[in-house]
Amino acid sequence: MIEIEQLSKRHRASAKPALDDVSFSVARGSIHGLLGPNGAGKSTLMNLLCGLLKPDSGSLRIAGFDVASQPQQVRRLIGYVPQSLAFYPTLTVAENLALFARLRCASAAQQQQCVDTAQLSAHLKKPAHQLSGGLQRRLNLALGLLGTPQLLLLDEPTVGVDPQSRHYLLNTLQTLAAGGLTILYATHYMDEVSRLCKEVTVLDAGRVVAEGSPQELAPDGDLEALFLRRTGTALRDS
Amino acid sequence: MKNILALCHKELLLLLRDRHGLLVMFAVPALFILIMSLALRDAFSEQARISLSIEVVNDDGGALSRDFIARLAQQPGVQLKAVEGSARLRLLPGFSELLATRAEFADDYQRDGKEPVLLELSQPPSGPPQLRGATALLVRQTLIAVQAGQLFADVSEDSGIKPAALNYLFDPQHLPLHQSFLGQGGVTPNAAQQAVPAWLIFALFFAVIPLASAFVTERAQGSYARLWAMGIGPVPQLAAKLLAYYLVNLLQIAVMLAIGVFVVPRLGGDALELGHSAAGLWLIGSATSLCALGLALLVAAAATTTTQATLAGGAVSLLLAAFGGVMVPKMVMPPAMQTLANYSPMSWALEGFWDLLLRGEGWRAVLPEAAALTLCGLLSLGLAALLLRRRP
Repeated sequence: MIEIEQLSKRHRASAKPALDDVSFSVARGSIHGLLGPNGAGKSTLMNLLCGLLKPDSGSLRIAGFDVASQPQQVRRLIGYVPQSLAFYPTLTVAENLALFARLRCASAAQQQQCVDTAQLSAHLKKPAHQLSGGLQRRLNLALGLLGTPQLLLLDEPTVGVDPQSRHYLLNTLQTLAAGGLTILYATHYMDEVSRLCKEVTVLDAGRVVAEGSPQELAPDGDLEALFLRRTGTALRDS
Repeated sequence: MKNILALCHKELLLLLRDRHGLLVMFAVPALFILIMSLALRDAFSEQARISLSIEVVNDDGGALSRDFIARLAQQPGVQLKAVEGSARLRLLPGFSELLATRAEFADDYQRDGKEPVLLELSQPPSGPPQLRGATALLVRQTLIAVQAGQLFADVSEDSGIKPAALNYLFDPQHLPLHQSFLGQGGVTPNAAQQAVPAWLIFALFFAVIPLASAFVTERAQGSYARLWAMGIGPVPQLAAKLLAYYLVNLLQIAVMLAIGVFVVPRLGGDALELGHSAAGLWLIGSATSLCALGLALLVAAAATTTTQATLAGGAVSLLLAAFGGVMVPKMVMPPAMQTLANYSPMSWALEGFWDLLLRGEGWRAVLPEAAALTLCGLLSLGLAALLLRRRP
């Protein structure tokens, strides 16, 4: 579903590349984990996949379409769930859903399906800022699912949610993947990766430092120890 | 276009729920219009161009000084309270100036070939400086009238001229002068004609605060990036904001003009007259809106936090208003400041509105101002789009 080859990107006014010769692929219908400390290049990779940034070199293909030269075709295929709560806090849940559904050309039935998936029907009339942290994360996910995307890009979707909401979100993602949706899942939580992902790519300082299934990478099940061995224990303050 | 309309609807919903934004865009300028129209009413009134409240302490107490005080009291716009006896240096409440006749008033007045000091004029340091000149002029005029009355009284005894006929010449109520205004189209300039367009323009430019802070929040929260990831880049997003706030600006113009026409006169102020060119009002209003929104979106694109956006937007609006003739009328500025004012888009907009509301012109007269405002707005929008393309 995703093919990334020798991808490099350097931000303006930055001495180091954000991504340096990154290559990996993601199989259709799988949940692929993207791990890395702060500043590893995860968000840059997400922004490149969404077409928000252009690569300096290398290629990025989604479902056979080149992201740089065929952005319209690519955008129809992807749903993006940023780390931040990317909706309008003063609009109600229903108004937010209606707006993004209209922009994604999603039908009323598709919209209702997203509401059901995220279990938001009891909260449709509430302003989004009045929702609990877990509900806000579910709304964020529901908006990414509008338009029935084939690829879902998730950037740390469980930050700041209670265990129940987290459990629900992870179950939902598993169900969605079982239905054929491909998910690229960026996170800091090793247990989520172990539970969800068939394949994992570990990035550090813009480079791929480890790749494989969680079992291959950490036969003892301690993915965090592997992560710290590959990326070091020094604090990442940038 | 469908996407732009959907986003425009979203902008209107967001603004409707932003009480502070609505307050800044509607309530604050409406209050300014009411306050300034009423506060400046007398400053623009034909009947009372000067309003002086003078306490007079008559240390002389003679017939001549009493005649002087009586004539001074007849001057238009003068509120006068005469106090007999020794000079007091304390001003009564409600009076802005203290005028004392010296005890030697009558003696020195009759002295030839000298310029004795007959009167003492005192003002509190907080008093308006222009009143000092106005009072001095009135005192001079009144003294001439007293002196002339004396002279003609002497002359009339020998010549048979009736003193009443001579007094007529010095009667301040009978000024043989007709005043009119050039190119007014029958409209008398009053406080409402001056204040309404000025604060209306300020209101349009003050949209920078809700617009810029909402846009910065949208970018910080990621909905801007989410929209872009959906294929809705900076240009359609800017276009939607422009359309939504343009509609709000048109509503602001209608509300502010309605306040000038209907509300200000009910509160005792002068009514606003709208001239005769609705097309001209739409043209200059639209061009002002485009310029204001262009600047607002440029501020929003350049700012990275809502605090930056609010402070920078507010500061830009206040500066443009301060030297553009909105807060201080251009006519009272020194020539150098008037030249500087010509570089403020608010000044261009003000001149355009005055072409219609004060000078009675038609829509063609506002074309130069509308063109300048449109150009400024388009340049700002272009810069904003460039900045946003570089920084998602």
